[in-house]
Amino acid sequence: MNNTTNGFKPRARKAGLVVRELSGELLVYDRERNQAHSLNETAALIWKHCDGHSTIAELRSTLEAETGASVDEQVVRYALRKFTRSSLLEEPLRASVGERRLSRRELIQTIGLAASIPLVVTIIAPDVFAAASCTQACPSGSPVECTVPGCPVCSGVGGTCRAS
Amino acid sequence: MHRSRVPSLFRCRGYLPGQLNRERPTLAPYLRMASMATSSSLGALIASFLFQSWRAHAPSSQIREEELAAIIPLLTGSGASALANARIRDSHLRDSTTAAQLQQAHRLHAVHAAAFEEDITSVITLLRNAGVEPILAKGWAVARLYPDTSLRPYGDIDLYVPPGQYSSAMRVLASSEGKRFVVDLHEGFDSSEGISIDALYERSRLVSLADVKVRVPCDEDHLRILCLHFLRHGAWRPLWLCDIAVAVETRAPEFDWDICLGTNPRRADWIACSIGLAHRLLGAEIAGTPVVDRAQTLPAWLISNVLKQWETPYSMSQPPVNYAAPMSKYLRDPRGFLSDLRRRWPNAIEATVYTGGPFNDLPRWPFQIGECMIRTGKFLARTLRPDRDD
Repeated sequence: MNNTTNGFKPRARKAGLVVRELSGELLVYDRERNQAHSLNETAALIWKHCDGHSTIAELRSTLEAETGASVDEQVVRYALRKFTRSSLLEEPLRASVGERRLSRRELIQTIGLAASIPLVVTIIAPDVFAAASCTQACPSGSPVECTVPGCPVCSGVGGTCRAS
Repeated sequence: MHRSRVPSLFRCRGYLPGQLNRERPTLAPYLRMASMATSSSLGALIASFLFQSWRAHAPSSQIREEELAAIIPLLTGSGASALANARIRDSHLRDSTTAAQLQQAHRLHAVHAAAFEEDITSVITLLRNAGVEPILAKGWAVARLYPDTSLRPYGDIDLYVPPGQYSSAMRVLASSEGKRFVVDLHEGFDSSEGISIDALYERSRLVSLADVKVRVPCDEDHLRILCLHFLRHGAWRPLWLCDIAVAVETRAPEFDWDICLGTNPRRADWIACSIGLAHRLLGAEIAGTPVVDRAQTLPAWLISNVLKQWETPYSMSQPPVNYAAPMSKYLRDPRGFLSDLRRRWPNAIEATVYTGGPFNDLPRWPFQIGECMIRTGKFLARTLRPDRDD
């Protein structure tokens, strides 16, 4: 497959991803890599149309039709590079020989509107609480196997480490 | 019981408060309404900040940024960051750095919820194919009552099965396919809840999650379960009281309070007090319920204990997770026994419920001593059991 920008028909990865919309953002959790990404509206629109049949030029046209605004092809290429970096495409985008990659700053200078730049941000948050119970298995039936603090008592052979 | 690998993104970790701003906070009007004696505490600040935060249009908070910064570790560490985010998303703090932390945590909760919902449909289908019909309680079963399931994080899937189906369920969850789910499988139902597994099944109902029907307890049983769970664990997590508030406010018009409160007067009073706490501390609407009067006569120790607990709402700070070692270790090596014994002194709420005591105005220490004695007796019985393996 030609994965360079000219003939590339990107396909959004589906397997191993969990997707949820939240307040205008598309959140994508990669279960295989244990990473979560946040796609802004522009990035989400491009990613949703990566069906494996549309070229970059066609994606640009689709984006123009959906937003009602003129879209530079560099915007789509920028988004695809971001998707590639975050493993959100089935096949990665590879740059053509001599192709110049625009940075976000250059893209803003070229396009003019920061809001229309596709953004893919990896979610980094403080460790958030997730409630769970004492559920560690103690296969030998011995409390020695119960190494989780607070769950010291084995419920029996093949059982679970319990609090008491 | 089954516990598969928990992705590090969702791993439970206690959050230590670090340098908290101990400056006396300016109290929100809601806090004054709650008329709490310990109004300068961080627990009271959390209560005022989470006021009606579960509602679709949560009221905007007027909290100061330094106050918010002081309680952010407590909110994040106890799973309430998404609810907190709901309180400030339209407030003067929405663009602050502290708000950004809550927004990030909310995003994480959202992907967390999506992943768990996928797992719930998969594991229930897997169990059904093996002839097991589980009931899902807590976790998603309560998160679905919120305007968005991302507001209420959870870390495992609590499934209840009849004793006759337990071994089949265990086999399924031990299989290569079943191992990937984080399931807390319960054999039957805890008799201390005052509901038999048969009654729980009989009254349960099916609700849709994606294309799968999930069996959950009826609203009455679920509110009862949430209240008793909140008390049995010493009320230390603010999110649990929000759960009770949501369950009360989203109840159907035909909600049967007789089923919810049950026939045991003491247990009914505990449930009424839990709902009363949700009203007094978090502003839950309880008009038209049979607990309105009880909500106005809650014992002072109950409110102050809940707020005290909320100053350290981390699982790592709570028993039994904060125990240094199992008691059996001290039989071999008594070093550290006394300091660990202090950690095991039960909180007043947990001790009262554990010993079956009333929620009245009498001191709590007899119940706390009672719980210690019962636990010691159980420990000795277990240790001296002739068929003990180790």
